[in-house]
Parts: sequence; structure tokens; C-alpha cells
Amino acid sequence: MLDEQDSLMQLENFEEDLKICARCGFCKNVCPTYLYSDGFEAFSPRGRLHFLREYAAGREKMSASWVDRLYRCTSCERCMEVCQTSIPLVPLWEAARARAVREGKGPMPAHVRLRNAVAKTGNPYDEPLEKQRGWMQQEHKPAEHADMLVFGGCTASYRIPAMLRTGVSILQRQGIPYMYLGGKEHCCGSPLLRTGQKDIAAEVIAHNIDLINEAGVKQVVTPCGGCSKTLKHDYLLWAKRMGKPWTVEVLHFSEIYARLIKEGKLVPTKAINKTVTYHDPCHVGRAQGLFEEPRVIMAAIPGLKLVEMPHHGKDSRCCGAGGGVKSNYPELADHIAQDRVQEAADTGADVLATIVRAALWGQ
Amino acid sequence: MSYRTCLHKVLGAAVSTDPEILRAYDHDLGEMPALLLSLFRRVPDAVVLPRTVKDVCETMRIALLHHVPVTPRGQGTSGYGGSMPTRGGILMDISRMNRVLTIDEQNGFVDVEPGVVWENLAQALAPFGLDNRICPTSGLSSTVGGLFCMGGMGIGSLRYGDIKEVVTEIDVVELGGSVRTLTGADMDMYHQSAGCLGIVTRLRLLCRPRTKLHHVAIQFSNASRIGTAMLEARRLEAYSASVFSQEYMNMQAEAAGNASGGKQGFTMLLSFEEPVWNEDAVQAMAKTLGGSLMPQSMAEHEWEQRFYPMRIKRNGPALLTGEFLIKCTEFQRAWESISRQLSKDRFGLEAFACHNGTMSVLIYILDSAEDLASLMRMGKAMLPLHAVEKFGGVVYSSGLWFSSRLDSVLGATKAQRLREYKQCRDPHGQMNPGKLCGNSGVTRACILLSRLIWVGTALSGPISRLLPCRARRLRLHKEV
Repeated sequence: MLDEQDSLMQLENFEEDLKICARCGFCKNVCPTYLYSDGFEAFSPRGRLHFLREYAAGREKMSASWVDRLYRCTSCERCMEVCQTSIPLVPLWEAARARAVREGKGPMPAHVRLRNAVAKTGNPYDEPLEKQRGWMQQEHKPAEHADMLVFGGCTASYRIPAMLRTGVSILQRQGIPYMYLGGKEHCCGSPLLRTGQKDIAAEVIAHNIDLINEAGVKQVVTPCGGCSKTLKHDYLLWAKRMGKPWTVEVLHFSEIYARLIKEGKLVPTKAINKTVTYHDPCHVGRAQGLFEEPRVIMAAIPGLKLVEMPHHGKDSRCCGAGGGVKSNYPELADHIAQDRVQEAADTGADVLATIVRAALWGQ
Repeated sequence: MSYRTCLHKVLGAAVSTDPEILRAYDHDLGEMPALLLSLFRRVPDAVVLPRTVKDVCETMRIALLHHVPVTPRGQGTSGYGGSMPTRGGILMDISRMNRVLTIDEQNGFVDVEPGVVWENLAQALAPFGLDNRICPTSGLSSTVGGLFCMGGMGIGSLRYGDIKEVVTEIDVVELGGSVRTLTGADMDMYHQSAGCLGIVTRLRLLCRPRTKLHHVAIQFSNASRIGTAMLEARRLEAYSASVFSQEYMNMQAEAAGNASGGKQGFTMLLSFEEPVWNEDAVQAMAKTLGGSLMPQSMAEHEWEQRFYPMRIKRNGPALLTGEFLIKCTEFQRAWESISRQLSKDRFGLEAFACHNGTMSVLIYILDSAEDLASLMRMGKAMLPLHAVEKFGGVVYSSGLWFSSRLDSVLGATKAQRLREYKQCRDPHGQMNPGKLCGNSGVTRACILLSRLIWVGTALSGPISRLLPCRARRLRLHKEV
């Protein structure tokens, strides 16, 4: 396990960023949780950043109420999207949460339960690892060795397997060989990183990096937005710090579908004669830039008519579930989700589609 | 019962006296020397977050009863200290009074609460085929009420004027809690008043039909034709005309991690509403004035980036900013004078044209602010203002830092009327003390301080000129 002092993305790494806030407040106007706060400046991203600057200068203390404000963030990245000076705000919030944890003032109660479950079973649902392959169907026949590895992710493996099943079925039917390490896979670490619990996150990340490296694959594909974001971005940093190799290409399943459709290898034939509006999940959209892929998929489906919500693409609103908000502040998450659902309903669409399970839960 | 207890009792959750929350209001957009800021009691004693006119009335009633100062604040996106408390008291954060009240499609106006953000208003107007007439470059967060009270212009001001010409009616809550509806000359007194007369709770704004905008970018090799080009843009009925110095463009490019270009020249961005768009006329104008048309993609890019001037702060990381108004016809002389004053520094210029033949000009100087001499260098932000004074240039706004320049900002006649009006409406100087005018000791002290800053920076100019600013670009995390 890494020494916590040596963990990645510490608050000290953001000292320079704290100086360049333009105080413009663009972040405040788009923050989904600020909208449902009591409305005082301190609850806004700009207010939080000002606090961290004062905290870094020793003029403020990490009080319980500041810790609470720091945890009321869905890590949706809308603040980062509009920031005039390109401050990496979400990593900054995560570093601040990690500092709160280090000071013994965080995380929030629901996040402690999550940590305990991961420590015990390797997944936040506290499910035995032997149940991890339970989603598999008869047609799914992973190869012993292949260039591609399917990383199921905890939510798909233990709770809502439809997207994982679909993805693997497509690989199977397309004749794309894939490996699967069900029973050995641990949580990707996303919920732990987002809630500042970097020590336990380091453990599962190290486990997964070793597991994937030992498999000798070139690509890892996952149906989960949180997993793909974490494997793509966070693992790169953690592997470097741990001195472990990490050269695999990480893909969200939507990237594979879109590629197959563009190559003419995947041709949806079953018509969906519906008007559909699409919710860009934060971890897939803003975090990974996957805006085109889901739209390529929908465009290929006969009969499907896409109507966009006013806030879509980079400007998409949050579903409210991310960053540990759904688990610890369910009412806040519900408010944010209701706004998004209302926006979808206002389009007159028959169907609200999305591509991440957490986003579905949010709504 | 103390006023804070009264506020809690009457307004409940709309009030906070939590020190953590209060401290978040001890500043605005401007970064000033700590020594200077330490002269003020900047942390309010209570923050009120009204959601209704009734909340405002109750607060103003309690404030009068207890002789407590009230500082109004929009989103704090002005750097003039106008929304910063100077002697504690109540801070009225109007950002949650942000409803669009009525939209009159037929007559093309909208009634809004003061905390409505410009960009949000544009989105609300869109389904009705309307749009904002003007929008400041801070429009992704700044409020309609804030721009009216601090005064200002923005994108669209070439065609439609400044904020005063867009607002036709306001409601104001005065100390004691009475509500007045004002138009014309009475309303004019509240424009640029920094809320020192009362709290504006409703504004009626004229809108423009939502039409397609055509953008064109023109390159000029020097400053000699910029003023004329701005006036020509007005003749061609352009919606907006802005100009950026080449160094400003370089700063923007570098902040984004891109390569920069040469050092000379200016880029002018013109935008036209569909009904008056005449491509041939624009081309002819550019040719006549020796400008060269730039690729359309460049014009579209600059338009897309219109809300992001402060991106360049990444190159500082401190950003010294001087802002003034000047006649278009004096632009060249002003530019040459500023260039001489800042000959040892790298600085950028961004300017907007207004329909009365003036330009609003921003000068950005980058500095790292990491050594002892940086305090002296901060005075450089004032050098452009001193430099352009002899060409008729005036400070853009007053607020706290330029309260001694009130006559030049408002004009002597309006300034005098405002002083008389203030004395009549707020004789004890409770409303936004320290700003603009008033007879309270604090306000007089603040005006004196403002005068000292003005004179001091003028006198120290020759020394600060010799101290070149040192910028230190912060790399983007993706570049690390």
C-alpha cells in the first residue's frame, strides 16, 4: 500500500491552481449541487476554492461544515468545463476530500460503509467474489488468452448486468475474442477516489493493475462510465506513481459499438420507432469526451428519432448520482435528477436513454 | 433584541451569521494588496439571501431600525470593491432573486429580478424569439442588477448602448422597506449607484429580436485606423465591435497551450444582426481602412471565446487590469501613450465599442506577484488610467476604489445630483458605505483613500514603470 503522504493528487499539488482562480463565478452558475444548497456563496465551487486557498494559507480550518460542503459535489465536471483559467476543479475537490480523510474528518458515513465493504470483499456491494460471474449467459465464452479484456465493474456484475451482457454478447457474435477475469476483479476504485479514500483505493488499483498486466492484454473494455474514466485517467497516474506498467488501451463499450457500426460490421436491424432523448453521463461525456459515440449508435438504429435536450454534450446536466452524493445525500441527488428528468420530459420524447448505469439510478 | 436576532426571526434560513459563510463575502473579483484590504471591516456580520421583495423590505426595515449598514451584492463579478463591505453590517446577496418575471413578446421587453444571470436570461428569452440587447463578457455569471448598479456595457453595446439605455423601469426598496417604481430621470439616479441608494428588486429590459449573427474578423497592422474602424462599424449598424491587441491574442493562445504569433497589430471582431448584414459593405470598409479580412473560422472562434478574456490569468498568475472609457477618435493616442508607459511590460488590450462613439478599454498586465516589489508593480494597473486622462479617458466605474473619481465617471452634474439624492434618501450613509458618496465618516475616509491611491499611483508611476512585471505561465495539468 502506498504511504498516504505519497499518494497522488494531494492538495499541495494544486497550490498554483488556487492562485489563478479568476473569481468569475462561471462555476457557480452551472454547479448542480449549489442550486440545491442554501444558496450562500460558501456552497458554490467558487466559495469552496476560496476556502481552500485560505486553508492552504493557514487562515481557515477544515471544519466539519466545510467537509460537508466539500462532499456535496457530484464530480460532474461542469465547473471545469466553464472555468476561465482551466483549473482542474474536480481533481482539486477530490484532493481536498482526501485531505479531510487524512485529518480524520471525512469521509461521510455512507462512504465509510462503502470502504468497509471494499476492504472485506473487494466490491462496494459487499458481495462475495464468487458471485462476480453470475451475470454471464450461456453464449458468453471468454477466451483463455486474448488481446481484449472485459472489465465488468461492480454495478454491472452484481446489480444491473444488462449493459455488460449486451456488450459481451456483441463481442461474442462479432467474433471478437475477449478475456474475462470474473472472480478476481476488484472495484476499480472510482467511488473510493471520488470520496477521498485514497489509501484503500491504492490497494484495489494495485490489485487490478497487476491482474490486468498479468493477463497480457492490449485493451480493456467496460460497460461502466465510472470504471472507464478511472481506468483511463486515474490508473495512468497511479501506475506511474507505483512504478507499474500501464499501457493498455481502455475503452467504454460505446466506443466499440460505434467503431463496429462505422466499419459496417454492426448493423442494428430491429426498429425502435420512438422519439428518444439522450442524457450524456458526466463520466462518459465530459470526463472521456464520448459525445459522438452514443449518437452514432442511435443514428444507426432504424426508426429511432433523437431529440436533444437543451443541455446536452459538454453542457449536459448532471444526473445527481456521482461523487458519492447519491449514497450520502440522496435527497440532493433526487432534486438534481428530477431537474434532468423534467428537461428530458420537456422535449416530448418517448424515451430517455443513457449509457451509464449510475446515471439511470440517478434518474 | 439585536438586529441579527431580528433577521433570523423574520427571515429564517435566508439569513446566516455563521462566520465561515460570512468570510466568503469579504472580497469581490478584484485582488487587492492585503495591506489595503486590512483597512476595511470586509467581513459582514450577517448575510441575507432574499428570495422575494418582502425579504428585501424586511431586511431594509430592520437595517433602518437598528442603524446597520447594508451592502448589496450580485455575483461579485466586478473588481471595483462595490460589493465589498467596508464596515461589516448586513450583506444582501441578491443572487437568489433570479426569476424571469414576465416576457412580453409583442412589445419586446422582459421583467426580471436583479439576480438573473445574463446568459440564463438569454436562454429564457430564446423560446420567445427574443434575446438580450447587450451582454457583458462576464455574462455567464454576472447579474442584470449588478450591471445596472455598477454601470457598464458589453457585447451589443455598439448597436444598443450601455445598460442604462436597455433598462426602462426599475423597482427599488429603500431603507425602511418602502418600494418605489422608477423610470426616466428618477431611475437614472440608481444607475451606476453601486446600490448606495437602495436595493433594485425588478428591472424592465428591452430585448432584441433573436436573429442570426454574422461575424467577421479583420486584421489591422497598427492602431492608427482602429478608432475609425470602430466608428465605421457603427455606421454599418454592427451589433458589436471589439478589438484585441496581438499580444492579447498571444496571451490567449499561450494560456491554451498553443503557439503565439507576432507582436504587432490588432484583430477586430465585428458582429452583425441578420437584417443589416452587408458583406460587401464590410469588405469595402476593411479595404478602405487598410485592414485584411481573416478566415471565417477565426471570427467564429473569437466569438465563441467572447466570455473568456481572463483565461490569460494562467500566464500570470497575477493579472493587473486597468479599465477606462475613451472616445474612438482618441484611441491611437491613448494606445501610444499606454505603450510608452508600459514599455518594459508585456500587456494585452481588449476593447468594445459603444454606440455613443466611445470605447471601453481593458489593459491586462501579467505578473507573478511573488516578490516584495510586486506591491509597487500592482500600481501599474493604474498607469493606463493616468496615461489616457489627458485624452479625455475616464475610469470605467467607481465602486470603492475610484469613489474619488465620481465626477469624471458620472459627469459632474449627475455626481452632484447623486450626492444630494443620497443625503436626502440615506442621510446616515447606511447603504453601501464607503462607495461613491455620502457624509458618513467611513465614506469620507474611503473617498480620501481613493484619492490617495489615485495621486500615489500617479506619483509613483515613474518608479513603477522601471519595474518590469514578471509573468510565469502555469502549465495546464495535461501538459505536466
